[in-house]
Amino acid sequence: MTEGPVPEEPRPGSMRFQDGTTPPREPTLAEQKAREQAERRRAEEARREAEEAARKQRIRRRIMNGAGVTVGLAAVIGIGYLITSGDEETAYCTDEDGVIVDDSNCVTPVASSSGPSGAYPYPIFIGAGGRQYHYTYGGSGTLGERVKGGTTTLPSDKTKIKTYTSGRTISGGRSSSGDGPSLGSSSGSTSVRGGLGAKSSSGSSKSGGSSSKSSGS
Amino acid sequence: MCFNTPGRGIGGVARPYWDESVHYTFSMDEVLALEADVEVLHSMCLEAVDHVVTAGRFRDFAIPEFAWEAVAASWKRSDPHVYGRFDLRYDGNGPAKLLEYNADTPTTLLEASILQWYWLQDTHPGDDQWNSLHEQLVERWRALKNRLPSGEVYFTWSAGDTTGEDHVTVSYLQETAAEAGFDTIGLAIEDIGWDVTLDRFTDLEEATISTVFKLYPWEWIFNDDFGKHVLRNLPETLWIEPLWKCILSNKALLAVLWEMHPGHPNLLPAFLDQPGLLTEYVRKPRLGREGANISIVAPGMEHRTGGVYGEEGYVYQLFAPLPEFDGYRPVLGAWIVGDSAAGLGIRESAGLVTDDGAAFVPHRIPQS
Repeated sequence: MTEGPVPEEPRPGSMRFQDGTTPPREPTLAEQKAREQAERRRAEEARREAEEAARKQRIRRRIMNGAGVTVGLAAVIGIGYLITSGDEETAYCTDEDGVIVDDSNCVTPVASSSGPSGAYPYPIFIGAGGRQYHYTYGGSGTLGERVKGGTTTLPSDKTKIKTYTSGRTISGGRSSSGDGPSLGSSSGSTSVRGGLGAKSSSGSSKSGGSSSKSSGS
Repeated sequence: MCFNTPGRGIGGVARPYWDESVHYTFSMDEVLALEADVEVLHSMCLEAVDHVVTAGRFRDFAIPEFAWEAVAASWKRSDPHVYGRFDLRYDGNGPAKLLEYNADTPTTLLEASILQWYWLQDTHPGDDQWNSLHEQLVERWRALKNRLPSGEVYFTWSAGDTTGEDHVTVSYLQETAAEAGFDTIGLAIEDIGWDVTLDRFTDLEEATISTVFKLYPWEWIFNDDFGKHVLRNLPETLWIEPLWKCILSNKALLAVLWEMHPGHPNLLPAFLDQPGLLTEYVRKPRLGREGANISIVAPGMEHRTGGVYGEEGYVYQLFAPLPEFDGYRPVLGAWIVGDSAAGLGIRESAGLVTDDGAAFVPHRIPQS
């Protein structure tokens, strides 16, 4: 008996996901060189891009190995939508007296603060004239009025938070919502994002109407 | 499975989207005949693309002029395709008729492939089902292993769809590709970056994207800010479903098919921009979805659905009312994977137009 060649086990593939928390990888040397070249030609443009503010984000990457991938993840994602849908809270930007003011006083998206929710004191923004502002989640009230109820503890990741006066999604929603295409980052990247897909800044989805429709058919 | 858009039953009452209180049965002979019909339709569609590209009939499809060259090139290169769904009218007698072809962004895939299969195992374990979707999808990805620019495929959906339907469909396809040995990365299409310096698409790690599966219609890409980059960058960044499918996912296809094969048993008469000799017809927008902006004109009836589509013009198709069973009207969604028929999903609606209020109903082939 002779033994035939051992059939090669097909290498399993893999599944992973990227979202707003995915950090950019370091560029390769060749990429750096190519970029340097191109950027020299466009020095003017590059200078403007370099001035863009840096943005660091929490590292959390979900990696799944392909070995033994069974159908189920798609279902899990579907359930995720069921759980998260409807969970929405309003964030009111308030001054030190709890009076609701314009969101522009609370500049930084609260969700980007690190650490487990609620474990640290709420972020305070120092506005013009030395006044202190912070977000109050939940509760009710209108602009210029003292906020009724609510809490300064950041709600869970699952909750979608909309700011009161500007209607921006500052947590729970996708990173691309609200700010429009963002240019550049601290690691020398020049990728522009948001040029495909739904324009969510005005709150209306690409598919039109108030209810969001599937792109599929 | 629920996508926040529960079905509507008779009289508008709420109906679960997945409704297994009823199901359809088919004989094996029927399924074999339907399978043959689907493969005939698929090859007629490929012929139609070739005709449109050769004759340069892009204007009939309202494809913007800046995209014509890229569409033709995509067809001539045979940019690879994965799947599509034919919506058929079938009443149990005679050949199935093509109502439309969802070639670019078909959904209801997971229901057809996985959910109804487990329903069959649970309720009629000895029976069969027209369903080799999962196996054929994995097989198709395997066949594309050497035809894609790299072993890495990005799977994108639009975060603008808050129902989760698109994300679920894309993730299921991602699983089939991973099973076939691809390294897959899921991200929202809004997160795809364009590197202005190096002229390339990037992911959130700033790595180059060379192959993207998108559940996002080509006609929307055309109008997006990066649309021209997408066209110019082909085939360095390859998109699936391919660009040439924008011809098939357009209702003008129905008229071109009828023009090329007048009287074909699987086609209904259809015309561009005017009803021709038809006195009873359905007017469909060239680029419409989920039963929106459909008008039915027939003696004694006028039916019209609302929506945001239609600015690209309309196609007129002979009105062939869907058959009625217990007050509901089914549309057969017959799947093609690669170049072979792969399965069936049935959606039922109370009205004449199958829209986003339709319910998914399983089927089986009883053991003879």
